[in-house]
Amino acid sequence: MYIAEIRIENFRLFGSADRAFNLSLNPGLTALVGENDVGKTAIIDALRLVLGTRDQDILRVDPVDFHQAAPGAEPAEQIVIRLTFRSLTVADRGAFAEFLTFETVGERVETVLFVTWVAKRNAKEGSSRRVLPPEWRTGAKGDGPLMDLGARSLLTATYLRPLRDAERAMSAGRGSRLSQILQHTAEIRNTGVGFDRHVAPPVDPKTLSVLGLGDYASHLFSESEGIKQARKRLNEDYLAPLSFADDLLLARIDVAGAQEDSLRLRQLLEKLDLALTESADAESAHSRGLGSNNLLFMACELLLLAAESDGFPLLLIEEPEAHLHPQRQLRLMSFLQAQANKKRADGQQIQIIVTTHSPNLASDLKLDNLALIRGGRAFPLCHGKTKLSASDYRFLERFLDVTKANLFFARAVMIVEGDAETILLPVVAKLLGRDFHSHGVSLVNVGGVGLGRYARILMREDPEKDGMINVPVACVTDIDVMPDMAPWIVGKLEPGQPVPVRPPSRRQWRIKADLPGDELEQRRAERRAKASGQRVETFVAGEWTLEYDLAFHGLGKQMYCAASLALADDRLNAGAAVRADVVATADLVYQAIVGAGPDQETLGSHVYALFEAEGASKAIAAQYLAELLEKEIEAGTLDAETLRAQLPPYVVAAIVHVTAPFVAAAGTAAGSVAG
Amino acid sequence: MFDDLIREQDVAWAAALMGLGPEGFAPVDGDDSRLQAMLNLDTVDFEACPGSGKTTLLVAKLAVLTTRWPHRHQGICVLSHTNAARNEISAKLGNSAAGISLTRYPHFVGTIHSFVNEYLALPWLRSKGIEVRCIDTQIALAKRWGILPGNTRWTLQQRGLKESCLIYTRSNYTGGRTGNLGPKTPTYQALVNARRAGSEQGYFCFDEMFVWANELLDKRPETAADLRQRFPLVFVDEAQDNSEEQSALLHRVFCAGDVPSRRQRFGDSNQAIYARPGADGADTDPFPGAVVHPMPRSYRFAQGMADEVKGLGVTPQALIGAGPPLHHDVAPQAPALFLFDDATVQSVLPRYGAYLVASFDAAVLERGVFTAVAGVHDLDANGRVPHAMGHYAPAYDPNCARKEAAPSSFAQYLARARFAMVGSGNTDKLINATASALLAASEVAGGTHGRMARKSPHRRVTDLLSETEAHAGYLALLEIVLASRGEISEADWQAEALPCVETIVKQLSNTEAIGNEVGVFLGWPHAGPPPEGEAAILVRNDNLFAYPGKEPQVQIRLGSIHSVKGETHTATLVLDSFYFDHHLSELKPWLLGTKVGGSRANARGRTEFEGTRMLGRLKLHYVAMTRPTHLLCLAMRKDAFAEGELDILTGRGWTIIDCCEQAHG
Repeated sequence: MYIAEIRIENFRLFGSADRAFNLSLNPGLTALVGENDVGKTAIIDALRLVLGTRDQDILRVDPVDFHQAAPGAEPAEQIVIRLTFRSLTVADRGAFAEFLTFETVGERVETVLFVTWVAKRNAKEGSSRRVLPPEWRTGAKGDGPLMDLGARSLLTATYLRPLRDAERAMSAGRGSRLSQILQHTAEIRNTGVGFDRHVAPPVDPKTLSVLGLGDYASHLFSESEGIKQARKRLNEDYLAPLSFADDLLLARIDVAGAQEDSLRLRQLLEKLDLALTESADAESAHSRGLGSNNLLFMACELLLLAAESDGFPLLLIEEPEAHLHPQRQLRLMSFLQAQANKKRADGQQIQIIVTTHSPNLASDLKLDNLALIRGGRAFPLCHGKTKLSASDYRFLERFLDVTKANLFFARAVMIVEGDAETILLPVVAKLLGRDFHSHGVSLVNVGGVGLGRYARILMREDPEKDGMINVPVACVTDIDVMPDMAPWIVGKLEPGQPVPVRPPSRRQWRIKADLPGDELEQRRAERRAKASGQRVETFVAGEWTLEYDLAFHGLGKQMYCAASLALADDRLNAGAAVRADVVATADLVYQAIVGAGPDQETLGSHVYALFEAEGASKAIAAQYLAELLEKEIEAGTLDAETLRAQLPPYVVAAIVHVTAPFVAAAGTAAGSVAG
Repeated sequence: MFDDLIREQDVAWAAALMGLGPEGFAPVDGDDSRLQAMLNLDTVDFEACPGSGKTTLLVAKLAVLTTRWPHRHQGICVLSHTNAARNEISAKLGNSAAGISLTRYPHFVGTIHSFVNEYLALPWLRSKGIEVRCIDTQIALAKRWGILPGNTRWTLQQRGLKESCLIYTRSNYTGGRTGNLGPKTPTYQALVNARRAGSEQGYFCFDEMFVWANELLDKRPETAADLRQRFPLVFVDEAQDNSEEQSALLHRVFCAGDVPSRRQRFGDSNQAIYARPGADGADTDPFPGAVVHPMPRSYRFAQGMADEVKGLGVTPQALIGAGPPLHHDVAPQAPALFLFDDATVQSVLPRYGAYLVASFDAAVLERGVFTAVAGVHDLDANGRVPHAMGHYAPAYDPNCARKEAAPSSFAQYLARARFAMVGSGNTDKLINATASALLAASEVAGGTHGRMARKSPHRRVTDLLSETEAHAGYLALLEIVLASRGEISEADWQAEALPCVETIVKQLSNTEAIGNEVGVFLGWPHAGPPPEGEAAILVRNDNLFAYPGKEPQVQIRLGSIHSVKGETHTATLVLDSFYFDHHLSELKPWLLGTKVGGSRANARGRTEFEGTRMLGRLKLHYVAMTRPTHLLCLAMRKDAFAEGELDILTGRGWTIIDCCEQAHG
């Protein structure tokens, strides 16, 4: 069976009713991702409270765990955590027979186990017990019998805390986790034979079991000549003079022998230390670092979970990435996924729930295994829960890499299609006083494909029911329709050549005349509709492309200069050209174009021709433009207000969407945001 | 999976734990049936004579099994017929580690009804969204009767139908005893609607749980496999009493088809008596089945007693009387017969009391268990004397002794707790009876708290009242109950207890005023007819008869034969009673030894059985007469015997006590 749903009410940041926390899970592995303080640990702790854990740390509910709806408000009366278990095996159904709920789905009757954990705050004045003992209820409405300790013990989870001290857990000592784990390992219990002191000593000690070896050693100790002599001296020289004749005191020296097999075995295993070595047979005492020990620790816990033959195998890991470098993280994640897919001998599948801040881990997981935690709510990203189509899932499985996975941890996301946007937009935003870093905006560069697919990750299929992901997402895209005169300016057509008629022509580029009437607006609307709605919005270039629009709206000079620098980039880097000269020449040429009195479209087209016809790199130009703008602001020749007025409105609107609106003092940007 | 769970070396340990000494299960005179029974863990039926220690055997097995049980998610299921049997098992295991672990997950010890409820019916009903508040035929029927429109009630009464016509036997709320009411009639529809509405409100009759359990098994046949997985080993105590529906359901859950659970049944087919007249034994999977392990050695009574009673067994067993146990240190007495007539019927109990006082010393009178039982429970005052216990003791309250039905008043709850407390100073029964009574009262007042939680009633009341003002009242009430040991005087009840009770019930049921129905429940019972002379000494309402009236030397517990099933008494008086005819008078041929067993070979060599009614009488009185260790007494009408018949009995050593003689003479 597996936990299919978690519902948490009035626990820490989670409230009640529609402020309660709900999360549905798939079998196998689930990773809870999200920024800090969104409640990932609260979820894990809720599971620990209900299920208990196998280590010896007991988590108890604390008065501060009761949710406060507002600061200073009276804390909630009771915490309610409900877990729904599904896909019960015959053994599960037998084990929990009296606690089950039967759900009728059409003609089929499905068996479900609900466990509702309720802790009440003790409201009584002056009582030192601030929390009343919790109750484990069953039944869909919590109306079933209470679950007693025996039944609950079948549900206990294995819990690995964040930043765990793996070395300590793996080292020898009383009650060490390693001894607990090894004690339950079949190989240790069942290999070899026991030792019986009444029969002749074994010919080959290798045939002995671990316990047998221990007993044999104890036996040899007691036979040791040194010990015998010491005892003799103690008895004869010291105890005898102290005894009465008829009541002789006698000392016996023996290895402290526990009576019960399991106790003796535990004591023996507690002497063991687990360390990693360089190679399988090396005797090297050289110990590995924290990260490797962490892996070792997890491997041990998994070994134990996989070997068990009863109970519910749940593994909770907080931040498995702790102390691991990125490639190791990926190895670990694939390993965990493989473990979660394996069936145990008793038909159970291990369920693993991890929390993570690591884009590395997140990027290696299928979206089906991810749940985004945000604002006290959970948003599973599995099939059916998002606006993503089946082909989107396939696409994203291939292309969602580390650089893009940071969208899971962002407070706002800007998705762009090219390097130019990636370079330029954060700088522009910063110059406008909307620093992306301080607003927690992550920028995802999808490299020209699948803009909408990434945006739809953060769109819910059923926002009415599941709520919206409160992460503003701005997709920035070009409209890719050039003004009518542009084909000749940017070199698509030779002068005098007519615009080829489509069809038969297969030209990819479009001019405005191709889209008469409201067709242009329709094209814009279509692009916008690919990913808009909920907190996602697509911002389509007003005219053509980012570079063209920048020139068109007022940064023609800077753009022309930047493009010229880009064209000269190799020579500049090689020292074959001087930057000031390039800038001066560019300014002169630009003045000449302006001098001809072109309209905005013609002017923009001339600037854009440097990219389209001359082949200037957009990315390099963006870098130069960013520098130019920064310098101008620094020098005071340009202020934020003016810059904003000269920027294409869609760029400003996109920045506003992922950061904060500008106070509507005056200025075109504010107007266009409202529009 | 059960290999090696019970080893030979455990047997002595278990016997000692049972108080039998290490040799308790050892072979006697070459008879090792008890030892073999102990070691056996296959599917088998133990046909065990009265006093053979079958419950002891079962408990001993459980003690060994639970200490060695290796599974965390699989358990042992022990099914009994009555709560009494369940309590006996718990009491015998006591506070030993085995006893405690057996009452916990993953094991189950309880009645068949509670098993069916807990594992089948309740999960299924809860899953249907029904909040089960109360499973009690009486309460459920009262609710449903209240739902019926007035004219329907009138119509039903005209047709001679009672509340019991509201019990259904199918999950679509049809079935049951509706006389010749046509299913299309509006009255029938109203009936079905009331059944449905009452059930949806969460009130059910005991037997309806089987309807829902079977529905679950129909809808989800895997449930049987699930339960076999959970309970690979099943013990059924008093298996002879299983009704057809119980037997069929248990067979369906544990035995039918592939991979059955191991099942051991304990019982005595000669003692098969049913809670209701007219009820019949099981046809499905009847007891005993194909594999039988006989246990004919009785540790209860001596060979003399064995010879007197074995003829009444329907299938006479070769009883070996290996009793009585030595703890009273007195020899068993010869059986006695009390004779009476219409005028002297009420002097039977005092004469029995006097006879006990004369026969046993003070120590035995103090420690022993003395009872008087009758086959018929409810008195028809105009019936032929003696009709039922009420003719012998007019103040006898049949409701108080009925173990399965819920008490119908606060006072009855307390009385029953006092009854159950005899012999122990523990207060839990009183406290929980008080709490149960409060919960029941608030149910009547329309309270909506479920009764099905696993907590004790006291804990539930405490939880419900915590942080309310009524909590102090509850503590005060418990104080009154404890101080008076449950025997509150009417004055104290009215002055002190009742105000507390009313406050609590108002709080529990969230009502402002106490309604009439609740008033009746909380009313103080009026004592029966005033005592007439020496005969009607029984004025207490706990069915204990003390003799002599002043300075009592012996307490005699009165009850039905059903209520003493499985018990062991020092002395038992079996009172004649009437069902179509006088029971004991009808059984006279067996008493006199002219008939033996429930069947005979007729002239053509065929087996000819007695009529069903006669078989019923035999079984019922076989149960009654096999209770005592030391003294068996019968009470019959003097005119039931013809000339010379009494001489046969005296000749066999019976003592005849003629109550008429003294009264008239």
